[in-house]
This record gives sequence, C-alpha cells and structure tokens, in this order.
Amino acid sequence: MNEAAQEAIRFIDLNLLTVLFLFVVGFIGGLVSGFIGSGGAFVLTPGMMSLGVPGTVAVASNMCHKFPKALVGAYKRYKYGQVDIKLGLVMAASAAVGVQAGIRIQQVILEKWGEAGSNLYVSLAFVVVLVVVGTYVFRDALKISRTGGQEKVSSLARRLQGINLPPMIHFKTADLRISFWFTLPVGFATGMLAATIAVGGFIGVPGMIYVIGASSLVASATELVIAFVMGFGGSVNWAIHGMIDIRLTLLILAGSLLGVQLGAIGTTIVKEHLIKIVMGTIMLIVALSRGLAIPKYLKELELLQMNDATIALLTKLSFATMCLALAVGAVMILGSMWAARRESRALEVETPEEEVYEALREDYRKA
Amino acid sequence: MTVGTEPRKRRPIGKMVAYGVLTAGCYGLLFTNADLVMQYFTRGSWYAALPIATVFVFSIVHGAFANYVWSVLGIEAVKRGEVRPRPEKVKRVYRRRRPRPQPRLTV
Repeated sequence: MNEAAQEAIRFIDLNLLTVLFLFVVGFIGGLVSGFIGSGGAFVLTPGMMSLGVPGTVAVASNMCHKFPKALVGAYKRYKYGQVDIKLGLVMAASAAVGVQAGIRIQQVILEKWGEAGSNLYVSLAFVVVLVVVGTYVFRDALKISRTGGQEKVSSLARRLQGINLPPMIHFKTADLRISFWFTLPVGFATGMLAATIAVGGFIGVPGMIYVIGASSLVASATELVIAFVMGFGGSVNWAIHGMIDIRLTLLILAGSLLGVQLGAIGTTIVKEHLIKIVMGTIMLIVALSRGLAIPKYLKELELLQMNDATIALLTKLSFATMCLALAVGAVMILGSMWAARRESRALEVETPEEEVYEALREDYRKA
Repeated sequence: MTVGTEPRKRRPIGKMVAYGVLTAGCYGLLFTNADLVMQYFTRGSWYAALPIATVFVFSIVHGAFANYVWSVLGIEAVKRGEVRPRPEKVKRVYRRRRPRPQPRLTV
C-alpha cells in the first residue's frame, strides 16, 4: 500500500462548495477543450491546490479526468468527420519523446536552481510561448475574419508538403501528404510543452495548422487524440503510485463530459476561424496571468526586491486572470454558438417559399 | 422550406432518463462507499487498474447521458453545408410582378 499517497489523499474533505467548484470548472474546461482541442484543464490544478489538495494529487487527479474527456470529445468529433486518427497517433508518438525530454529539463533545473528556479522556468516558458504563438494565431484569425472567413494553408506548410523526404505519410481526413520528419518536431514540441506547462495543445494545434497544414477544425479535433494517448499514459503512471483521488476526478469529469460534447457540437455550428480567435485570446490572457506570477519567483531567487503584500496581490491576480481566460473562452464559444443558431433559425423562417407560391397563385388568379 | 413543414425529430427522452438513472447510480455507489473506494484505489501497483477502469466506465455511461441531454435540449451538430446561404434570389422573386399580356389593337 502506498501509505504516503493515502495520507495525502485523505487531506481533503469534500463539501458542497468544493463539489460545485469542481463541477463548474470541469464543465467550462470541457467546453473549451471540446472546442479548441485543449487548454481547458490548466485552471484545475492550481484551483484544486487552492482548495487544499496536495500538488501531486491535484496533478494526478486532473490528468486522470483529461484522458476520458479527450476520448469522449475525440469520439464525438470523429463522428463529425473532423478527427485524423493517423495524424493524432503519429503526433502522440513523438510527443511521448518530447514529454521525457521536458521532464529531464525540469529535473536539471530543479537540481540547479531549486523549486523557485523551476517555477520561474515554467512561467517564462508560458509567457514566451503563449505570447509568440498566441499573437500569431490571433492575428491570423483576424486576417481570415476580415477576408471573408476562408482559411488558407500557410505558405510554410505548403512548402514542407512539397518536399519529398521519405517516409511520406498521407493523412486522409486532414487531406494532406507530408514527410514524417516534419511531423516529428511538432509532436516533440507538443510533448515538451505538455511536460512543462501541462497544456501541450497550445503548441500542438497551431503546429498542426501552420507547420503541417491541417485545417483548424481537423487540428483541434486531432489534438484530442494526442491528449487521450498522453493523458492515458500519464494517468497509468500516477495510478501505479496511488496518487489519484478518484472522487475529485469523477466530480470534474461530471462537468467536463457535458462541456466537451457541447464544445464539439459548437465546432459544427460556428465559423471555423472562431477556433483560432478563441485559442489566441485564451493563450494571451494565460500569458498575462503567468507574467503576473513571475515577480514572486524572481524574489524567491533574490533577483528582485518587492514587498510581500505586493507579491501576495500579484499571486491572487495571477490566479484570477487564469480563471478569466477560461471564462472569456467559454463566453466567446457560447455567445457565438447562440448567435450562429439564431442566424440559422432566422434564415429558415425568412425563406418565404410558401409565401412566394401563394403570391404567384394570387397573380395567376388576378390575371 | 419553412420550419413548420419539416417532420419533427423525436427527442430521446427515454434514453436520457435511463442513462441518467444509471449515471446517478454509478456516482451514488462510488460516493456512498468513498472510504472503501479510496482505500483500494490508492494502493498503487496492480490496483492502478481500478481508477483507470472506473473512469472508462463513467466516461461511457455519463458520456452517453450527456449526449442525450444535449439532444433533448435540441442542441445538435449541424452538418457542413446544411445551413443554406441567404436566399436573396428567392426574395427578388417574391417582390417581382409577373409580366402581364398587354392588349394590343391591330388595325
């Protein structure tokens, strides 16, 4: 028996507030994941820790809810013809290598600079990657929005697809043919980011869109396959160590299975470039959130002087901004689904075929 | 075609209720025996199969329930191309008057 794990897991008693928090955040996280393929669970680990759950148990329980959620989301989107399973599996294989590399880098940093150094590295990775990639995704989405909403394959992807470097792989659903060697760095970076900031999809989805050349619909749906494979592997690992609090996992899952299906349905209702807009917006707000946490780690490393009250305020602001990122994403998804549905209904009602026939009949009668 | 002329799709209320009861039963069973569950599920080693199998079962049962909930609420996927473009041509037809034969006098 894993005594240490049992002690840690018994640490938290469930009350109504905890149950509601986990259900609601699970639902919103599921909604965002079902829509953009990832990025819904990053609030849960710090959220659970703020409820008193030990860090390792929070990470393990969060991961254990991610893979069944990704499974349900991937199945739903597969039925809509959006998932490229082969691309997902190829990416997941290289991502697994990336995860190992990411863990190794973390270990080296932890040994050299301690926990504060490791936290600073994670926050800096968050800020740099999310600002660069998020700005690019957001700008691209705005450009598409201005030019009529039609996505184009990026010039980089077109060039890479034109290079015949065996083994070449044909991805049927993504409708593209590219060398295995070009999928490798994207998968590797996805895994590395997953090991560093726990949200590999922030690199995986843009990588599949701009480097490999998949559409944002296929990329976001295929990311769920990668999330399932990686989440399953990670969960088995945590479960072997007895770190999963199944009660927390199932409470999050209760909300997220509802949310992930709603998000998946949303991708069929709204315009395709909205996936990029939501993803870019969330990435930029999360970058801001992690940026607010940096002074704390700089102070711990004695690289910055700041009073404790300011640090405490910045830490609270950082967590609030992270929650805001998820809430903004959810509002954007639900708002655009609502607008698209209203527009679709208005179109159906406006189509006046019966009225047209009636008017024609009236004309005949008069004639 | 107007909305009213389309045959209404039957909502899977029965399936939603059945899976809802099953889901509630699963959650009830687990949480009423939480202490026992936690004792075995956190043992590690081969007992790791317990939490993994549990989330698989819940994802199937609760996932099906969630699917029927959205169907019953009328929130369903739209097939690409199902939404028709704005029918401007039809509107023009609606306003156009049919040309009428003009009486002509031939002398």
